[in-house]
Amino acid sequence: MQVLFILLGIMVGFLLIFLKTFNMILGEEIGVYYSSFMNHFVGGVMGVILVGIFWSIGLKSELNIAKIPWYAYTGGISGAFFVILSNYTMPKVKILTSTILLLGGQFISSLIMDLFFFKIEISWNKIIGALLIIGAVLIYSKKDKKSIIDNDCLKAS
Amino acid sequence: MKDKKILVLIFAMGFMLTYQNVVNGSLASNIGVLESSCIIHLIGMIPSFILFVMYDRKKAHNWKRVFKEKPYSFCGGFIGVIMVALISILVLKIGAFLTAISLIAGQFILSYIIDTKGLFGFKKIKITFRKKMSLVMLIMGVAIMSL
Repeated sequence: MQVLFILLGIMVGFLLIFLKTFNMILGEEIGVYYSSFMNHFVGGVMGVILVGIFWSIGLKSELNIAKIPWYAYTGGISGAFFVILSNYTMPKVKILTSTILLLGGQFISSLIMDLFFFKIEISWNKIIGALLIIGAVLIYSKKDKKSIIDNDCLKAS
Repeated sequence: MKDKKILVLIFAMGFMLTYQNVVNGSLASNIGVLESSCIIHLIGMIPSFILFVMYDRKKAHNWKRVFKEKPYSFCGGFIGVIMVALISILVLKIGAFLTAISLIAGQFILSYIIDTKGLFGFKKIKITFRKKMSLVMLIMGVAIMSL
């Protein structure tokens, strides 16, 4: 079962590249921050339409609004500020450096999250597999200057 | 490069990505994945609007021309709303770690294809031995992780 979700994750990684490519094209034309706003605007409108469709065909999720902690609403704000941070930091360091740091940060933080907050057991084969995957990205990125994977792939939307 | 603060900041940005995935998942577990993705985008509109007014206001008039010439470039938000919903499902099912790593693997694979085929107007990049090895290593990583 887990394998299916890993495959889904890989597919979502494809989507992420499409998203970044579109946003990059748009950002070059109208500016990064305008592009980020457009992204949220189009996403919000499409979200309202999709939720409307799902609700109207009876696929309404159970709403436990009282149970939602305040910080659960902060993901979107964090996402918007990520754009300003990557604009500020990425031109200042080598691509390989930023890739190592960003992937390292994700690796460690998500591991801490699973182990200490979600209390999910992470077996050794997952750690080794993950290290190989990150190693592969770093080996690929080494020395090359202009490649989509270096410039854009690992920055968030 | 010498500035250590920048390096710490980039490292912290990796934490931000995990933070986003996890809190979005927490919202999704209470109101549903699609509903939460919609709300996340609507909330994100506020800071991104402020940033737009601060920095890109002068480029605002360009959007009509771009919309005519490259309408597909506005699809990002549509992909985004579906993607955030799917990431929330992943975080709730397999946790933050496997989600992050499988996303990285997926991005690598599509970037590899785009790079080597020169798709979407990106410059074609020569496949060296090193690049081939990195792909082999990635596939091995995914296989070992899936065991």
